[in-house]
Amino acid sequence: MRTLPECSVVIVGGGLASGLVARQLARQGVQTVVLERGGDNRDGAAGKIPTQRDELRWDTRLGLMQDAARETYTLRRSRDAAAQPMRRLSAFLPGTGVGGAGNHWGGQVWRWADYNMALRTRLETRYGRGAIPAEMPVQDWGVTYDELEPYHDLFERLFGVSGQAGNLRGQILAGGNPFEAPRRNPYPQAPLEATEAGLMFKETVEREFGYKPFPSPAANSSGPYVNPDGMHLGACQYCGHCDRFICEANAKGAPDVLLYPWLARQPGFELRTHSHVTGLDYDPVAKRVRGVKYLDLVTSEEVCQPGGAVVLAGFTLTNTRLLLGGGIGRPYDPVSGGGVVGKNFCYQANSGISMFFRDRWLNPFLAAGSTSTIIDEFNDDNFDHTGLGFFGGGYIGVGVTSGRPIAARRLPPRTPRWGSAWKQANADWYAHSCAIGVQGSCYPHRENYLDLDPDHTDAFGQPLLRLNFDWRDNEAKVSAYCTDRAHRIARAMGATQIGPVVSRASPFDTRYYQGSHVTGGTIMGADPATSVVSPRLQHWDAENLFVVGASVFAHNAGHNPTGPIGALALRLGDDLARYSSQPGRLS
Amino acid sequence: MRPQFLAFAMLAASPLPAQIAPTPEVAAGREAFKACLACHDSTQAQRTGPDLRNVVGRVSGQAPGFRFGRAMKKARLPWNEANLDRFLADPQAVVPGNLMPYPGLPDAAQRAHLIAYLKTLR
Repeated sequence: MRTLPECSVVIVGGGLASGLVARQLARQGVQTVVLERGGDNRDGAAGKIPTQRDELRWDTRLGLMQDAARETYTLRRSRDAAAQPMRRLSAFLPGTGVGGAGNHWGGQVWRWADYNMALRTRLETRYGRGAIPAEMPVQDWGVTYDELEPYHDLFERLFGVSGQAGNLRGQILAGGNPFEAPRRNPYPQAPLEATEAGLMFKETVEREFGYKPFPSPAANSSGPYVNPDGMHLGACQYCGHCDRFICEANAKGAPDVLLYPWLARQPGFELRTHSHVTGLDYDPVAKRVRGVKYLDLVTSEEVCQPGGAVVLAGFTLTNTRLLLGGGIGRPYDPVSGGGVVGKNFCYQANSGISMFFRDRWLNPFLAAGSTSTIIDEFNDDNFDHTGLGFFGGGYIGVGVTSGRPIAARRLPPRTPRWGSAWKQANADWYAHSCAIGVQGSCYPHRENYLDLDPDHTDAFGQPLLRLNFDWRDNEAKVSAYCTDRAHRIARAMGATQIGPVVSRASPFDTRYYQGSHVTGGTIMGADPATSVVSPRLQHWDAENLFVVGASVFAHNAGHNPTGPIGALALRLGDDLARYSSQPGRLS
Repeated sequence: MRPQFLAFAMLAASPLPAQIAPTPEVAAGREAFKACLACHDSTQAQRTGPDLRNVVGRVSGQAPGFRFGRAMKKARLPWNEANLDRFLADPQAVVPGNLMPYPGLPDAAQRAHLIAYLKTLR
């Protein structure tokens, strides 16, 4: 193994979080190297018209995603079962290559309601000390929304987020989300155009229920935009090839458009692609990470890159896997409830109801990744849960994101699955259907955790990460409640037909997409007994090791995770610049 | 390689020589061109759109080192001011099936300014 000269900061993973951390470090002149296992996706067919729009290649066959044949995950829903490998990744889609999942995301970016950062305190204060069930280890994160707010603001400005402010410094503004956490500034750009389906949803919920709908915040640029670093975004063309694809108009806020090209010009920054990290060189006596071990996939050489500080930013699952593989920190034990690495693994309890409107044109191909109209009345703790028997909630909305020819086939129940009748139904309903969806929270459960699989290994011979997960009682109830609310709205919208109403419940089925929002495993907190990293994201058992990404979330809210990830990453970058000149425990 | 890269960076940053002040039309055109920079920035190593230096007077689909789509290559449209004006107003109407993801600029005065600016890109 070849050992390189030490670098000030070594970051594992070349995605969104890494790019944001590196941006802060580069601005303060701290030498940084980023190790990315994939290549640059923009070099090839994924980044060039017309092959950019190949649905079969990038969507159906997941061309930009992690190759399950090289590395996948095993799953079991209870501890008395044997875990099986997921031979095709469908439910969640880890990215690979420069930009990671930030290449092909849909661009939904939220600030979570401020009480989420201290969720245990919130729930106990509102519902009583004994209200939270013992098997739901909800905990405070150790950081406040106020501390994160300037970083949320910076992330939005760096990524040209389009939206309508709902709470500007405490003033509630019409047209925005009245439940949003207070913001110091409006969104950098005006919201995207509303879709016809979104307008119908808005009109119905306002008239029938008095809810307050608003346009989804979007890292889809509503106009040409220049960010604070001088990086350009084009105007979104509503081309309907957003999530799963690289944007052909450079209108999607993506790390490989806004961060890595800027970083490439900064002295002291280096990006190494095709560098597959195999582990961390940990000194348990000194409680430091000496460096990062990786495989140079081009030369097949094993390399060790020593670092003054090391950052794990390789996605929820990889971050957790590296800590478990390196023996850094006590693994979580579901029997005793002790240990920390792997605990509080959460996902996203989504559901949707199809709607069919014979007399309305709802062109599904006119879409961006975040052209949605949303209400937040039933999200998180925005409503009174007294007597309901669950905690959490979800946003409800109508989003139009794709009319692509292979997959966009929303058909009424009992449509035959082949033949002339199937073809006729496609012609009848393609431009006349949409769905109302719920993006539901997922709170931690003692039996939902991550560990290393004892039987299965990846292409490099390393143990696969094992997901111990199922939809538990709380999420089944959240989903049933929110899906019922969505159903009431669907009925009021006057559809010709409404599709099946199915809420999320056990057994967890990995065979269809449910969002890539897996969270937890290396959670943050003020108490080392119940967290892996401190509120500054510094590992309790390795002073120069930091972790960022949704793996630090102690729970998952009813909103996409990218906003808090961005804010935490930018803040970590500033903290690391401090750490580089003055190592030690950050307070 | 490096000195060339720096030269391109300087050119893209200020296509006019420092001692010649832009006319109001060219200055307005440079503002309008900011909407185009996301793809037509010649300093970016992986360009989404072709380098537009010397585009005025060139035939369509000829920018060196760029892989055009079939429509633009076959159009063989001379990029004089009149053709540029028609194209920028409605790209799909003038070169149907061309791959530039841009709906067009409806304002005639803005197009004139943009073309005045493009003429300075050398």
